[in-house]
Amino acid sequence: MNETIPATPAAGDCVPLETPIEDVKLARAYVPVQVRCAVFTPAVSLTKGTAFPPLWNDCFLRTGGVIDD
Amino acid sequence: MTEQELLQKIMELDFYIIDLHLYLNTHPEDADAIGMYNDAVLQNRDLRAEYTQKYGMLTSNHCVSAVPWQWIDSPWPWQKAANFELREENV
Amino acid sequence: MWMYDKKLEYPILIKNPNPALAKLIVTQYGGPDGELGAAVRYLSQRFSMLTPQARATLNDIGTEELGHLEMVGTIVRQLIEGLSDREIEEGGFAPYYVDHGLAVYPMSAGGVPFSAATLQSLGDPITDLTENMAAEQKARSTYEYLIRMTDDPDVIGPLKFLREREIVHFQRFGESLGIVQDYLDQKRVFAPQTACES
Repeated sequence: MNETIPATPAAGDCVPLETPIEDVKLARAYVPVQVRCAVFTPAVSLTKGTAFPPLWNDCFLRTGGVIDD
Repeated sequence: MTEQELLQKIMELDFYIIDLHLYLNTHPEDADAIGMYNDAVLQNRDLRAEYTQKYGMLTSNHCVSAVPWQWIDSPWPWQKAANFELREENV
Repeated sequence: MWMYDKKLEYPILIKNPNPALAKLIVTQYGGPDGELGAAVRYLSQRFSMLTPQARATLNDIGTEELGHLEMVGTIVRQLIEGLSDREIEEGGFAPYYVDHGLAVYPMSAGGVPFSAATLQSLGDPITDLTENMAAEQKARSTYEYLIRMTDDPDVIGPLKFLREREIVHFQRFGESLGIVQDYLDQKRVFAPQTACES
């Protein structure tokens, strides 16, 4: 395994993270295609739920119930 | 390595392999990622062979058994005895 | 076909029984946005899917969902095994208990048995992949609501893992949708007589 990959690479280490979408049409859904850069080690991947830093998202309302504008 | 440490290493590699695998399904031309995948699979094979030899069968088709038939041995994966807390210091 | 790997995808070791929580978490076993529905949906859609990438994605994410089903069943079982009659009653678990004992049964948190009416396998590849993106968001939201319903780190760990997997699956279905859309666009260019519109 590649020992030079840092354990927790920052998302900014691989920019751009997605391929641009060309020839966009109406009435279609588009999801940007992931561009791979540094990956987490297997040990870190398991704790985070993914090997890919840009796909890791731990950010949601844990307490306090509903977002109420 | 204890049984638990070996099983944790296998779980980590298995998961890394799964996530790379799903990525490769939509990125079949990524040669470097295929290299990473293959390296992980080969490393995992060695660990699984060690686990099977020391502690018992992990898959239903690819592991040999001692006598009596080891596949039915406890614990099964949903039982507490088969599980552990992920150790952060290994991470 | 499927082989069985005798380990969980992520370890689960729950120290504190909690029947009330089990009654909620079972919704990801047999509820409308749960893992059984996800597995059946994707493994059914794969037969009519177009492009090798999308077929493989359905096949392999459907397979991973079976592993998630196993994880959720494990959480439910570990939360209820060994409960005394008093714990069952005090946990509000008696209605489930009289129907299913301390077994794991595929149903929603509201007690509705698992139903294929909560999923679709429609055959149009764009429709099916869009359905799947919605399914992954529904599952992610449900895991977030479940995570809010407990403070137990033994339960939160696996739930957070399962939630993150939904995010990754959404990305893969989205990428598959793009691949299928490009493929269908090309088909219309090269075989205009079979196209449904210009």
